[in-house]
Amino acid sequence: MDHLGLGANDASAPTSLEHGPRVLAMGVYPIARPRYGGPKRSRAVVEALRASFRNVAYVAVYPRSGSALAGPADVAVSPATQDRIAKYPYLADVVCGYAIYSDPKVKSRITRLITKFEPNVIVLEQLYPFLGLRPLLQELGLQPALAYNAQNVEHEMKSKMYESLASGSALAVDVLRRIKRAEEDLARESLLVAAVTEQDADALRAMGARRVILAPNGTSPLQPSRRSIQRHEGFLLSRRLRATLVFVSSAHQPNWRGFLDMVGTRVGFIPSDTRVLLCGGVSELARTRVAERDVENVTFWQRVIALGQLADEDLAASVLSARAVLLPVTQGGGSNLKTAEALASGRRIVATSFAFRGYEQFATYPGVAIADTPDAFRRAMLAAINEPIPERLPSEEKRIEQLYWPARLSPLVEGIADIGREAHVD
Amino acid sequence: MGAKHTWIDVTELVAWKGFPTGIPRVTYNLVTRYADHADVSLVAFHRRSRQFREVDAQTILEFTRRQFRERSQPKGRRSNQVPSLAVPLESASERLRSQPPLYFARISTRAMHFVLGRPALRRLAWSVLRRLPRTEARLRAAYARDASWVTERQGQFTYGLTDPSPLRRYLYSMHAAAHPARFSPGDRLIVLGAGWLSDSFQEALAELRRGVGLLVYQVLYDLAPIVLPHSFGPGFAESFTRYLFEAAALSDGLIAISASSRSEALAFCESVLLPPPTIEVFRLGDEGAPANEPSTPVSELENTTFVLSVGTFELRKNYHLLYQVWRLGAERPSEELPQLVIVGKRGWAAGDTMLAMAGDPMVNDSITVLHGVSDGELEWLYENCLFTIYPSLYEGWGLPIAESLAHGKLCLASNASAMPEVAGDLIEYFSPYDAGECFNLVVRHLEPSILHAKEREIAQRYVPTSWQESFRQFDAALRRIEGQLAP
Repeated sequence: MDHLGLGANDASAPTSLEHGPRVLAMGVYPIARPRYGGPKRSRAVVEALRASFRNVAYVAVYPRSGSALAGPADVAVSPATQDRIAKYPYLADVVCGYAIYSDPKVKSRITRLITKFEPNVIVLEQLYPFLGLRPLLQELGLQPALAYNAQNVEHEMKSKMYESLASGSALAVDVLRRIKRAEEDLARESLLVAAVTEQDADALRAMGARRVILAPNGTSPLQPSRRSIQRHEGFLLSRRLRATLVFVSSAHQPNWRGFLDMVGTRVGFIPSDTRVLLCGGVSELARTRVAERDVENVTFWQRVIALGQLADEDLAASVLSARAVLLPVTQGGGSNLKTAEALASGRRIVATSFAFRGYEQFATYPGVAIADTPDAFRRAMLAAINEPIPERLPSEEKRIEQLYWPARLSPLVEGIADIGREAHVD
Repeated sequence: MGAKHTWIDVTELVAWKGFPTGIPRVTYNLVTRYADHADVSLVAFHRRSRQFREVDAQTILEFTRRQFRERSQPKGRRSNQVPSLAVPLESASERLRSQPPLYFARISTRAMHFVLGRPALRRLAWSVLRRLPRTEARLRAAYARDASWVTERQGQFTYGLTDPSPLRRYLYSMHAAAHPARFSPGDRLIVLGAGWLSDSFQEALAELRRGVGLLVYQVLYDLAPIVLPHSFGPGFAESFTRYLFEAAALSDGLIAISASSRSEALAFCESVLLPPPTIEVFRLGDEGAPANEPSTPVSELENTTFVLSVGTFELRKNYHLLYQVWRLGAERPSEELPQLVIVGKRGWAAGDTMLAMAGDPMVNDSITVLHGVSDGELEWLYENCLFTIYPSLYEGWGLPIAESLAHGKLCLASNASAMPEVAGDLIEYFSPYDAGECFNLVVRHLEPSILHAKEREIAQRYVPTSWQESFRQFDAALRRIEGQLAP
């Protein structure tokens, strides 16, 4: 089984439940080096499962362009499928999902994996692998228990996304219809559905899901190295900065939209010794979108620094030395993983109430400012710069620990153990 | 609130290249009136160390006076021909190519900076190069030239590194060896000059304000690079925008040379959500240059009737409109226009207009462009013109309008930006984009009765502003700002 790259788990173990169920998790992005919310959650799920069960594998069917982040078991789509992705980049996850059945190369690899690994439970990270897995399982005559790890109510989120990217196109309408139907089918057919928010859980129940558990997004403690702290301190010193605010985000368009909505490009309100640090893929988005030479754009870069993609330890150093973490989330589905990370950082937080969906109980924590208008958001930023970071009570710290992945995902792990047992008994 | 000590920044007077005009002239005239006070010291910014260093007032003022005297001498360079038409204005990179750095510096500016920016590599390079005769001196010279070029390309217009004057070099060395100013909390630092010459200038001010508790006040001249970015060289508008943004953010107050500049700066602050500083206005003096040269005739114009226009020959001054006006005149023989005399050194993007004026047979005999005119000659030109005309697209003030009126001459002026503030209803205005309107005004004021009536009104009502009065207004503006600061 080594050639499948399934890691340390013993894939040749007997199919008894002595070591828990044999779990195969499937997704449409690699999780070997996760950078963003979705992959980070999937990675955490796989790690939590591996901590409890002996036989756990993850396989991603992914676009060839993502190979730099792929693990050895992951399967890149064939060039023909890649051409389709290149033509419709916003449909990459849908195309990768269908490729499990329609792309001969992918189909062959996944078939081999399933028939050799013989999973009791297949965990679907998002619904997209289900698009191709469903006909494949039918063809193979297999009926493993399905668990759906829903990160959003997908058809709602995609509807908003396609509206801005491919508004009105017949293809987008057709794809949306397929996503909605697949989501409903998966919700009904899964023995276990994990939702990240209560709202998502309600929506999935309404689709016919039988057993829905809440497994909100979580985080891991930030761990900067001494060198990364020194690097960051040197950076602040060289720029003679007194304070920084960080905005950590991928290049996901809605994230940048949220920044523009709440902070904007008119940044004269930020003191001259303070900077907003953009960390992650959003940096590149900002560089390309705020590139004109007019007054607003030129002055934007007087108060904003795009740090780009950072190593985890450097990101941790940037966040932990900041006065506040900004969460200007104004759209999107699911719960915001960045909110858990911000809460765990112990920094002040300036956020929209939208960013605290799924974390409502923390919205009144000391140092958390909720602001839903641009004016209020900017005022909260200024307050965060000028006011000290408040101490948390031990009880509050304890509740923060509940945000770490193991605690957040324990209902999911227990649920999978249950359906694994049920599947075995059947 | 009483400031402990007043520091005046005179970086322009130490570092300005070429003849002192405009901003150095304002700086000089205000500084001379501050310099007598016991609680006032002069400083200039030393870019490499990012420090403000003390400057001896007598030395810098005497140096500037000499420059004014030099400026007042005729340069013997006047022409109604267009010099070097093929290359309107050489770019920094062209200049670099025409003056290549010494041998190894030619390899690559970037490579040289790479080496010089790393102490270990620099030591290694110099230990090798020192063995070659005079190499180190050559390296330093080449580096100085390249550093000047690089910063200029980045839009941070540096100065001084290539100035050849021995007197200037003495001034630099004196400045470089001077002690950093010992500022105390509550002292005030007044920046009279061009705070946009280097990004590090405003950064250093911000640090002093935060670290020492200085009160910082800066003169606000205009927003021309923001309003008309295309009328300056590449990169300058961005550099200037950064300057204004930081100056407005850090200053305890700005003192504008016109209400127009003030309202534009307030609009700028609003446009980028910057809390605006207090901005007060003072009026510039319109006395002649400090050298006060006697009127000197310009021989080729002694028997000519002419209209005068004064200002750098550049896109912003809009001399192309005057070309169009005189072209309209040439097409209407019944309304013959007098000679047009334009006085100004050549500036940015002047080539097309110069080409039109020199090459169009309909107008090339009726337009004269003079460069290198002495103050005495300028005095004579003002005294002997019919009237003056100032078609600029944008000005923070409009000194030539005031100078014209101070000589008792009508000025037909552009109605844009601050220009109507200079003389109010005493003069006539036209749109700087309407050649027909300007033509009609010129023709109308060729009628002696109309022109003389305007001149009588100017003589009765126009009160020139002395630099002493300008200083009084400046000081009063400063005190008003300080009065508004929270204790």
